[in-house]
Amino acid sequence: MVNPVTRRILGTALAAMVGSVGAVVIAAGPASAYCRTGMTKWNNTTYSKTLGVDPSFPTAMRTGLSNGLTQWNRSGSTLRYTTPDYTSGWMIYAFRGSHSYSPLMGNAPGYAQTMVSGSTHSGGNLILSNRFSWVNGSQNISGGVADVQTVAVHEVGHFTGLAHPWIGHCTDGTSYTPAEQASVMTTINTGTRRTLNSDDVAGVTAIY
Amino acid sequence: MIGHGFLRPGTIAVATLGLAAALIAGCGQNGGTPSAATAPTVVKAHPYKIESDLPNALAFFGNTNVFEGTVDSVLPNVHAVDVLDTGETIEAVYTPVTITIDTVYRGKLKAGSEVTIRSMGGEAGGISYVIHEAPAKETFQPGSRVVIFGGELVRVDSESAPAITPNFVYQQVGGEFVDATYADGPTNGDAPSAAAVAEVRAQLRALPSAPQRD
Repeated sequence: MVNPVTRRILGTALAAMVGSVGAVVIAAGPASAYCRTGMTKWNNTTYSKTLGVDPSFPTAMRTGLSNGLTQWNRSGSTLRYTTPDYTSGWMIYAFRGSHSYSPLMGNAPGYAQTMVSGSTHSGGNLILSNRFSWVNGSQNISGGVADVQTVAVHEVGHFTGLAHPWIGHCTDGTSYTPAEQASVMTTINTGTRRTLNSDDVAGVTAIY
Repeated sequence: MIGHGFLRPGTIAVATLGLAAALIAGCGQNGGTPSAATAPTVVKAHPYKIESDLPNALAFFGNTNVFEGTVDSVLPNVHAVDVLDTGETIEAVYTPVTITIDTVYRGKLKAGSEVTIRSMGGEAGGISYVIHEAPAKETFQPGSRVVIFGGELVRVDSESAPAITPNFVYQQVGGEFVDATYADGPTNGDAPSAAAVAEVRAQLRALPSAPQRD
């Protein structure tokens, strides 16, 4: 399989080359140009990934969390997330979720942390900050209101291996395409954004 | 840091044992770079990045302490460990930066006092903590003038003294305060938010005494 970053560069180069001979003019970058700068991927897809969550996790947030995980399951990809397992035995899981807070998280409503081995990770912590008021609806981050699914799907995107796609963070040399701007991996001035777009789907199917 | 090795439900707690070993090995260690023979464990953090322009920084509900000051000193990196109220443990590395406070716009800190903030990211205690959604290290050079929109002055479990994690940082550059919240800029390579020092101070003085939330 072609490395996604390599594929993206090749795609951009091809577009430029075709444009230069005048046969086809492609004004924008590739329609699906997800970014993977600095990211790792799951170390294997032998087993489905189950998020172990403490039973104290609020009931009203569980549907949004589950949707944020499972919509990354796409045909053409071997990666599978199951619905979370709410159990007092959550510590047996390497992939853990909680509704909690640490000052080490800073201002973020959601926080994904992975322990990296080479180009992969084998687990991680997903924390939805209990300093925010969580809703299943419109979010206002400055005002302290966050939408569960919007934040969860974005953070699970990081576990999946996708980076923030905008220039500055993404250093693969390509433009910030309209598809990337509409991706769940873009968070700035986006408001509520709950559902994968073509760019996100292209990313997960290319990685796994 | 998180557990080692992906585990299916029902598998014994190898992850927990790994975490405990890591804690014993690294907790509370300051500074230093591990030898080449013991490469640090890489931990990557991906906070949900939020808008850092001045209106959003001013309005953010989590700004318990807002002050202007001058960077006094930059201390050796610290490997910090915090146990969440659910029992999970997270780890991070930061550079403690001491700031002498000139003006307090919100909170109980006192002008003339010194406070420590956490400049997140770095290497210590066998951990290399990678985070892009934090100010660049060079923001905090001794003598730099900054406005800190910070959270609570608190101590995490491994710390002996309290500190503040900045929510937003504005650095004085010439006659302006410039958004320095994120090392990789606000978004899409755009120029960071900036405003004249006098204008920013006027808006800071107009802050309500306590954060507002929806």
